[in-house]
Amino acid sequence: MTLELERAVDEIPEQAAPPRVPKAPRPPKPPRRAPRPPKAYAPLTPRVMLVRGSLMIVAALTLAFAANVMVLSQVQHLVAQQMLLNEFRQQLADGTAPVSEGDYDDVLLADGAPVAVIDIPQLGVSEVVVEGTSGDTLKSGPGHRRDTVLPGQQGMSVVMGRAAAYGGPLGRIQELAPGDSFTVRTGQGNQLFQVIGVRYAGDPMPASPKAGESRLVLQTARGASFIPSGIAYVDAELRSEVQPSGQRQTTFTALPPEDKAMATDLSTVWALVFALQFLVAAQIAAVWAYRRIGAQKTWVVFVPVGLLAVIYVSNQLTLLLPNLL
Amino acid sequence: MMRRIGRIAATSLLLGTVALTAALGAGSSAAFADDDDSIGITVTVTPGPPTAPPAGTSGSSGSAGTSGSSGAPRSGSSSSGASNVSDDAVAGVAAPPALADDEVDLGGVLYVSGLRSDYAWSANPLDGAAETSITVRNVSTSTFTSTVRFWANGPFGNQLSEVADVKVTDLKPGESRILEASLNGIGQSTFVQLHATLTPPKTVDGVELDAITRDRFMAVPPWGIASLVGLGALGFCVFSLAQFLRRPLAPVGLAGAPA
Repeated sequence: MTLELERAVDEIPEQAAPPRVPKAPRPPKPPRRAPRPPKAYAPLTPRVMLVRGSLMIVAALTLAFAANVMVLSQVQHLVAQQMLLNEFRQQLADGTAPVSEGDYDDVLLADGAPVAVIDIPQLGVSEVVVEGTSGDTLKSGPGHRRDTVLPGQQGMSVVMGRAAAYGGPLGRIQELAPGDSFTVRTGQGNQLFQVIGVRYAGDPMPASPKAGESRLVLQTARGASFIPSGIAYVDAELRSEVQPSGQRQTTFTALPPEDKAMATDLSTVWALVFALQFLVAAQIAAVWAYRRIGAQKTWVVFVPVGLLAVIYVSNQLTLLLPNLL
Repeated sequence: MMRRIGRIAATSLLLGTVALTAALGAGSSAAFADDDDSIGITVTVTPGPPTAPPAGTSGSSGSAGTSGSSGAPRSGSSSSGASNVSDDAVAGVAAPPALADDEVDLGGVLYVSGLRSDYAWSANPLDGAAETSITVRNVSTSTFTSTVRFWANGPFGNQLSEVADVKVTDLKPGESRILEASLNGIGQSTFVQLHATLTPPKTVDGVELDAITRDRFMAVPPWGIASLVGLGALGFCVFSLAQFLRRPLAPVGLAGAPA
C-alpha cells in the first residue's frame, strides 16, 4: 500500500511555476534644479567681429613674439653656431681665415662672416665670433665691431654679444674675475687674454693700450634678462704675442648706427611691412577658405602658413629690440 | 569688376617689385663702393696716449659690519706714479715691482669684477640666502684698505637684507681678493636685485677714487607660494572627487528588464 502510494506520487507531473510579471520601469528622478535654458547671444556686428579678430591676431602675435625670443631664438642660435663653426674650421684648415676687414680675395667681409672663436672655460662659453654687431648679426653669435682690430692684434678690439636672447652668449661675463684667462682663436693663432675687470658706464676705465699692446673689450647688456638696464664691459689684456693689425676700412664715424651698443636695427623695417602684409593675406585667405571649403581643410592648410607668417613677423620685430638683449 | 581689381593688383605687384629691385640695387652698389680699396695686412705702430687717471664715479657708501675675505697675492702688475695714499689707507710700498717681459702696465688703481650670486635654499620659506661675491684687484703701488657693502632689494625696491662694512684689509699691490657675503631673508621675493658697493680710500697714488657699485639680478623660484598653490589645487581635487563619489546613484539596468 505504501509502495503504491509512492509510485502514484512519483507519477504525478510537476506543475510549472507561474511566470513573473515584469515590473514597469521606474520613472527617472526629477532633477534637483531645472536645467538652464541655453543662452541666446545676440549676433555679432561686423565691427565687433573685426575687433575680436584683431585682438586675436594681436594676442597670437604677442605670444609668438615671446616664444620666438625666449625659446625659438635659442634654437636658431645653435643652428647658426654649428654652421659658422663648420665654415670657420674649414677656413682655418685652408689658411684663409680673415685677419683684416677683407677676406682672402680682398672682398669686404659681409656681416655675419666668422672671424674668431672665443673660449671662456669659466663660463662654459665657446662661440664663433662674427663680423658686425647689428641686431640681425648678433642673432648668430658674438659680433666683432667693424671699426676695431681683431682680437690679439695691436690696439683695441671690441666684441659684443647678447645677454639673454639668441643663446645669450655673453650673459654671464660679469662673473669673470680680474686675473681670469680665456682664449680667442683667430686666423693668426690662439690669443690668450687675461681679464682686467668689469666696469659699467661711468666707472674708471683702464688706460688705453700703448704701442705693442692689445686689449679686448667684451660688451653685453646688464640687468634682468630681457629687460636690460645698461651695458656691462669686461676689459681683458693680451698675454700672448701681439699680432700685426689688419687693415680696417670702417672707422668709428663710419660705423652704422645699428652696430653700436644697445642700438636697434631700423634698416629692415620694410621687411616687417612685407611680413605683416603676408600675415594679413594669410588671414584673409584662411577666412575665405573657412567659408568656401570647410573647417577641416582650412585648419590643415592654414595652420602652417599662419605659423610661418607669425614667426616671420616676430623675427622682424626682434630687430627693433636692443642688439645686446 | 573682378578684372579691374585684378588689373590694379597686378599693377601694384609690378610697382612693388620694381621698387624692391631698385632698393636692392642701391644697397649692392653701396656695398661695392666700399670695396674699392685693396685690403691687406699692414703693421702700424702708433705711440699710445699717456696713461689717463681714472675718473670718479658715483655710488653709495658702506657701513659697519663683519668681513670675510680670502685672496692670493699676484706679483707683477704695477702702476707708475708716486706712492701717495690718503690718510685712511695703509702706507704704500716703497718701490713698484718691476715688470716682467710678458707683463704690461695696466694703469689705473683698482679693478673689480662683476657681482656673482647663487641662491642657497632653505626649508623655511621665509628664509633662503643669496650667496654673493666680488673680486677686487689692486693694481696700484700702495697697500690700502677698502670696505664693501652688500645688499638685496625686492621687486618693489624694498630692502631684504644687508651686509655692510665688509673690510678689505691691507690689499697689497698686485693682490686679488674675493669677498663673499651671505644675504639672508630672501624668502619668496622671486625678483631680487643684488648690489655691492666698494668704497676705496679717497686718494691712492695721487688718484682720487670714488665708490664703485656692481649690480646683479637674481630670479628666485617662489617654491613656498608654488607649494601652497599646489596644496590648494590638490585639496580641491580631493574635495571634488569626494563629492563625485558621494553623488546619488541612478538605478542601473536595461530598459524593460528587471533591475
